[in-house]
Amino acid sequence: MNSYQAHRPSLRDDCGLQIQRAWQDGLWAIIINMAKSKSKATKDPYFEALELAARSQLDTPIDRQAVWQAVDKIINEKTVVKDPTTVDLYDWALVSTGMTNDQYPKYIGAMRVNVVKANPKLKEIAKTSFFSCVANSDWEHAQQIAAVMDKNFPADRRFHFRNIITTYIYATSLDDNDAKKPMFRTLALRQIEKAKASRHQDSSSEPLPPRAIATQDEMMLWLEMTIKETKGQDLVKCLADPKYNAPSALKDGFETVCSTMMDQLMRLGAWDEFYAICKEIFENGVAFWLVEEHEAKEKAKREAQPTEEKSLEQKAAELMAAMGRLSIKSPQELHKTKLAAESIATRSVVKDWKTWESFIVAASKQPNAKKALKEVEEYFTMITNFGPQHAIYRTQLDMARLIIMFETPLESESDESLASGARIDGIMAYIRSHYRDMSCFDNLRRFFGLLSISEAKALLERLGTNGSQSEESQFQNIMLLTFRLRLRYFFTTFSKCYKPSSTNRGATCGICNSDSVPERCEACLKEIAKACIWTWKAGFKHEALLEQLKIEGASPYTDLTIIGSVCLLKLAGLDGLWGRNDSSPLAWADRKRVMQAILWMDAQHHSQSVKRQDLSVLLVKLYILIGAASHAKSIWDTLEVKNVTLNCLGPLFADRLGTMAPGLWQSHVHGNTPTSQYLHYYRSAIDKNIPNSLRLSFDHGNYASVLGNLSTKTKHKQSCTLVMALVDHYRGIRSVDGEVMQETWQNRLSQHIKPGMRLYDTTDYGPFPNIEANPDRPIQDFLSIGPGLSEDRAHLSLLSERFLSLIAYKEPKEYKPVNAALAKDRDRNIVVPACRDMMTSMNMIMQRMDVRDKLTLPEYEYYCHVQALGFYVVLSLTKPKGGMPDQLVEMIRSELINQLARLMVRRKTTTEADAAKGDVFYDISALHANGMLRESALVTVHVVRYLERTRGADAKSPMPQWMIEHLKILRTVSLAVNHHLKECIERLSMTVNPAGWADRIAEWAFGDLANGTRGVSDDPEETYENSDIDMLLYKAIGPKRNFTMAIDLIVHSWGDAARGWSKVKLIE
Amino acid sequence: MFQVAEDDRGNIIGYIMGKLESSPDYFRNYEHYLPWHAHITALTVAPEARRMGIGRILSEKLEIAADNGDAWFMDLFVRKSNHRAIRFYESMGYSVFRVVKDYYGENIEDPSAGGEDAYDMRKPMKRDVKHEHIRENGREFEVDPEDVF
Repeated sequence: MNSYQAHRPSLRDDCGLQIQRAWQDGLWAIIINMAKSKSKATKDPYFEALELAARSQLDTPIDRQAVWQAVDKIINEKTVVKDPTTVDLYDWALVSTGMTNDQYPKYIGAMRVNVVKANPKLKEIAKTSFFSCVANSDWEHAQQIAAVMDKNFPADRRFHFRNIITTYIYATSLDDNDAKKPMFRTLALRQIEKAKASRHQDSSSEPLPPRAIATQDEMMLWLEMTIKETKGQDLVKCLADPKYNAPSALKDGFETVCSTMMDQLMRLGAWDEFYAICKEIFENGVAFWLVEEHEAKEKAKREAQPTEEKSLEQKAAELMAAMGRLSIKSPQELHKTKLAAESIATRSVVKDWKTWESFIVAASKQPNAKKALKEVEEYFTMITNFGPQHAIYRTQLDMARLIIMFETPLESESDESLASGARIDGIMAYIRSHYRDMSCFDNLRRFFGLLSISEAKALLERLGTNGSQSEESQFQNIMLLTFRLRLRYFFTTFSKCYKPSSTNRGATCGICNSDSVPERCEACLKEIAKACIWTWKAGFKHEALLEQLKIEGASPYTDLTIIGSVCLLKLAGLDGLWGRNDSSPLAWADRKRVMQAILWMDAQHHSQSVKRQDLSVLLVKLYILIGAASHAKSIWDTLEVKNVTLNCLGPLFADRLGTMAPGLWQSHVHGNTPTSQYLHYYRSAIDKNIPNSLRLSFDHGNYASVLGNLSTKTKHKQSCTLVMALVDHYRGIRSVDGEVMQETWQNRLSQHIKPGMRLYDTTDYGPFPNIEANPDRPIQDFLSIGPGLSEDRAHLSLLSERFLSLIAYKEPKEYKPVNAALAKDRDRNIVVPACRDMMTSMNMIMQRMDVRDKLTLPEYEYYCHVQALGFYVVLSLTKPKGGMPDQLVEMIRSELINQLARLMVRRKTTTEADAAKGDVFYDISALHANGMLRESALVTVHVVRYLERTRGADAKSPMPQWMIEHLKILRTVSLAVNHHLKECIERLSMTVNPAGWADRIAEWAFGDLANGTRGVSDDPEETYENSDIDMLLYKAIGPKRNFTMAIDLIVHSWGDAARGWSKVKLIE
Repeated sequence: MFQVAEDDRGNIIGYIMGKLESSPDYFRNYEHYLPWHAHITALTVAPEARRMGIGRILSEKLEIAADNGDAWFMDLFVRKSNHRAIRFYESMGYSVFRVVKDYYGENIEDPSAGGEDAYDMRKPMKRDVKHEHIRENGREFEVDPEDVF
């Protein structure tokens, strides 16, 4: 329900006090009677609408339907309702009785237009009617209203531009094959071009004509439409036209227009045009800064501040010299002609890093790149000297100089060797100046990828030397050491640092010369992990340093923990392939290293006074991976993810919880589940907040924002996160209730999503640490149960839910059809085509080559299973006499048996001692696989029940023998699955609950050290060389540092998981 | 008025929210009446982007908008215990105009206290040539939260 419809519309004043009160109190029977008599007495259609609105609130279907019949009659008889309050009542009543956005144009949109036409001079009515249409995405009638208002009030610029943008939006909302589309598109473009032409024809006249573009927002509308509707060179030509280009926009003080134009030129690769425009802007920028400095100088003189004067004069002299070299117009000349707005906008653009970065790229593509880059550097140096000397501008300049150095073409071999040394020197200089900045490493990342192996080694060496020698500053020392270890990790994960090798493993690590698998040299990973632990452990001794780190806001120990732990995880065998051929990424992982990494991260997490979100997110993912979902949730909750960021950040936590953590859905009856926040958010965002923002954007004449809000609405309505939340919501509730929810077809949040519709994955992985060199294999890939959200995955999951609710649908008990056979025929006529369409859509996705990369193996198998069952339903309902292919049933059966077998393989391969303990680690890491298997059994049972219902009760056409046999097979196999799941659940409860688990986990992580078989050395002479990872880490986070707290939390969380699963309902 | 700062990958690393406003007209004769001014509602910079001057750049952008909007001054509220922020604003030319007693519900430094005071800090804009809307001894002027518009 939209916000404006959620509340009852206000009644007209002439209703009388009694009706008003009854309306407020919802006393519908009273309103009906009184409205009826008023209607008779006055013949005013308003009271008839009021009566119908009150009837729509009653429970009886006939009363609820009455308003629909009345509105149908109005539409069919083309009756014009002139009173807007009458339409408000119909609107409210229809929405209350289930009107969808699709139905709005036919029933209410058309009436709204008539109201506006009937009241041509009443702006407020037009406005309300317009926003009603906009809120319901009825662009056809919104456009008609906007056009009427534009015609009625030609001097009001708001109505003119509202008409243009609404016409444009309406055109884009039409299907490509709709004949009206090009007509409305052309109309909108012509209108906006005319508005732009009027501005430039009459630019001297002030004020501008009312129908000319006057504001930056209006110019942005022209630009946005032009960008969308003009392609390639035509767009370049348009953006480079001196009359309308970026410098011209700055003349009007339109900074956003200028930046958007520059972005487009860059996107189009129009480097020559971009370079020329940039030069012009920078020349103007220098001049404006000079004027600014001149004015500051004059002001300083006036205020008698001689200390400032000298430096300003010096600067002015230097700048004049520089200007001479660059042929810049004199400041006096410009001072007279430029407006203050132009000055502010230009000075802002020339200090913007985005402009700088692109200017360098454009210069590097010029015929004489060396000269052009030098010139660009001069501009930057000059610009940096102007205005406030913020640290960010110094960083910008240093960064720009580095980029220019790397971009400058080399002319000879001797140049190359010189350049190599200079590049390392340049990077080192940058690090020395900016190592305090948290973004220092990320800023330099682009250069690390350009270094050769020998340069990489040289850089590491220089950093190592500097790191260990700067003993005068412990702070600098720890920062540089951390930087070095992060860099070493970067090179270890960088394919360019591996040389082909003649050995079986295929590569030699360029950094340590070990034989290795590319991008994961074990020797380097071990070395980095050890160094990180050593440095991390040593940190606790230096209280003064810890205090300084707090003041500086630096957290190198968190970085060391992340780098070291990720090395341990890679050594454990997590490789980012999501257990492609197994039930879980942990199925074959080294339990010891995984637990070490988790306990280390947890120790650092609890020692931080200010939590680093990257470490928190890593822990959330790891705890989910090992089945400790309730503990993961408690950490996630500390991140306080706001509703507005759920669409982007929510999947980092909630994805797949519905299958692996049913315990989190136990309290769903109170509306408290991990997904309830999402669904609530989407409802208010789509129905209330975004329409409100749209209204505000229209009101303020912010047209780019109108388009932006529409795009946000689309991305919310067609969001993969939305589908994830819905599907996990259904799965989670189903696991504890056992019932299939019937709302998947009617849910307002998903009913508009049709197969093949574009869905948007807006997941933001930014909160994860960015430490991998290979952007295609980021850290989250090997810490997740499976691949992230995707369009295909979302469609498959939604189609499966729809299939399940279709076949699980049961008529209410009260439903007694007069002709049962006819009712069954009708049911079949609905189910068969619906099923066939769904399975065809699923098949199209499942046939894609890359679909397997978007799903976990259990998901892939589940969707194969659903698809096979779907086809079976279609075949069994359409070929009742001809018999069924037994192969299909055999395939369904064997697929489920194979899934069962694979789940048990890992258990069989564990040692006997592990098996005796129940090997809970691997059981619990396979919870997602068990969850999907449970879903497979459930959908199988529902298919059997459906076919039994449909065919079994049909006396005229009894179920054939082959179908009886098939259904028996399907029921048997689903029973076998449920039997396995019951065993798993019992084993989980039995193994997790008894005491002694804390010691066992400590032993998993630290083996002999934890059980006392191996003594813990307290040798004060312990050196880096004679220590090993286990010992170092045990001493760093072991009992003395209270690692038992983390272990207790894990055990407790596994207990929660076991309790949750013990309440799962298995349908048989 | 909204302004964001983005890094080179388009991530938002800081933002400022502000507005131009005045007390309602019927307050005109009230001693705490606020004339047309700009108010900083929120200013935040991501931890990894701090100490680079980004907060300052964002504030300056808002000041330009305030001058364009013909504001007398810019103002903001800050916790009395937030020494770092107070130093930052002072370095930008802001000064304490008055102390709003127990403006914040929770006291960060003393949880047992009923609330925490806020400093109402101001910076004069170009329109306030004579600096009539600021005062040197603002820390001595105390008002209650209900006096603040």
